[in-house]
Amino acid sequence: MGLLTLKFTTDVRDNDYEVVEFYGELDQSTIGNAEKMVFELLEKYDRKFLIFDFTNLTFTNSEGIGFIVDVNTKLVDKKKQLILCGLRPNVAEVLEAMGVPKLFHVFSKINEAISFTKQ
Amino acid sequence: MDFFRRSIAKKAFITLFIGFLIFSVLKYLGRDYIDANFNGYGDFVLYFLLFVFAFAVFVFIIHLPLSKVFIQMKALLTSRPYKKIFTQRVDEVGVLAHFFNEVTKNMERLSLDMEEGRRMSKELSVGSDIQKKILPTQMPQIPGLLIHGSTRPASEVGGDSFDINDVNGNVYVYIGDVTGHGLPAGLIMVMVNTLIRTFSEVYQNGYDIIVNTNRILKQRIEPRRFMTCVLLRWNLQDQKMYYTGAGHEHIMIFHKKQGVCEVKQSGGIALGMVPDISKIIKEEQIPLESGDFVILYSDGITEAKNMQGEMFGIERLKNTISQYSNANTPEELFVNISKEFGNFVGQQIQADDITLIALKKL
Repeated sequence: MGLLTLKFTTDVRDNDYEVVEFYGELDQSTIGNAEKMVFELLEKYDRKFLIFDFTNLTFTNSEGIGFIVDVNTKLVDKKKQLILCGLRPNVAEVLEAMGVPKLFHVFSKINEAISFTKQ
Repeated sequence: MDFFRRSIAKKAFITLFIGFLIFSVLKYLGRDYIDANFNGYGDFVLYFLLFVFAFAVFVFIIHLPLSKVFIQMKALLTSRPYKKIFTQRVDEVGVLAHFFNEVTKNMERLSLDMEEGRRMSKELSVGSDIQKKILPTQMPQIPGLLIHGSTRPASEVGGDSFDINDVNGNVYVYIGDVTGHGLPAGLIMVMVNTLIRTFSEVYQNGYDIIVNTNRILKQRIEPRRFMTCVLLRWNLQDQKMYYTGAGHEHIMIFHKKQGVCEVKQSGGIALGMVPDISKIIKEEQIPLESGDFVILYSDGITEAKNMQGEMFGIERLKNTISQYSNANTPEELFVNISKEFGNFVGQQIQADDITLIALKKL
């Protein structure tokens, strides 16, 4: 069974985005925990962007992608955007195979993702 | 002392103590009357009355309340109808009665749960049968092509699917994998299977079939559910193979002449993610020569782990295909890949649905 920890970071000087850092594996065994925390955040989310930082995400699969797509749908409904960054090659491969990068802005580093929110 | 306060012994003790006091007072006040009327048997009569009193105390305070509980316990043990025991008592009899009520309540709940479980299991079994019936059981004879495939769900109902449909001069072979597994995935799998089969009778190419399947599917499933898919089209007239990818795993092609296993991205986007995929997907040709193999698989194979937690992976699958590429038929290749896969995962429990299809150009 995989492990997953989420870290939520808010830039106090900037009200445009919040970063969620993923540590571990995002699959069927950890999704429940991720859903609980992220959906709770989304309930009163009033920023323009939500950035998922996958720098420390070691594995994901179709169920993990289902979760990401679900989060994106919820954000789009509120006229907000999901941005992905820091994808490891194996994670990027799974996302690319399913065509997910066609739906989101994907950046290799967190500072690139943050810069995008300023444009 | 708290125990004594709530004990049956307290009630018996107080009753006996009062009885003994009454007996002593009676014996003291009435000694002349007793001696005069019972001819020297007065003591015997008094002790007899005392015995009767003590016996009555035992019967009414201990025996009868206990037997009320024991009758119901006996009924339960002999599988006869039993009743709830109503009591206000907090002593040992009360504890026994509450214990009995609680145990029987839990048993009844458990029995109902088991009944519900049996009913659900029966329904799942029916669902499993329905799903099995829509999966190909026999491999068709296709001019210029040999094919063998199978799927094994992780639970009664699975989210993996494949089908072979010979219609209007094309043979369509598709593999699909719905997010997750179990009943929700199984329902989507049945939906997609029907849509693909229906649209393959309407349209003449994979592109239109996939675009329209997605259009209908997207309206009917929740956002987090989707299905990855690869649709192969074997044109019977020109003997060429085409593929339309919808975010599925790689397509493996073993080129016999070069002795190389090509790992090709299926491309596109998974079905059910966005309402319109007409600008994202495309149908392309897979150039094949005689003796080449095409292998389609679901992620249940590449993500399967062995007892050490190591994944089977794409590289191992690719190497296995190359190792057994001298197989005469796709069935032979299929069996060898299955054996290697089985040896790798060992006794590990199957976590996801698995599907494997092998095709060979004659």
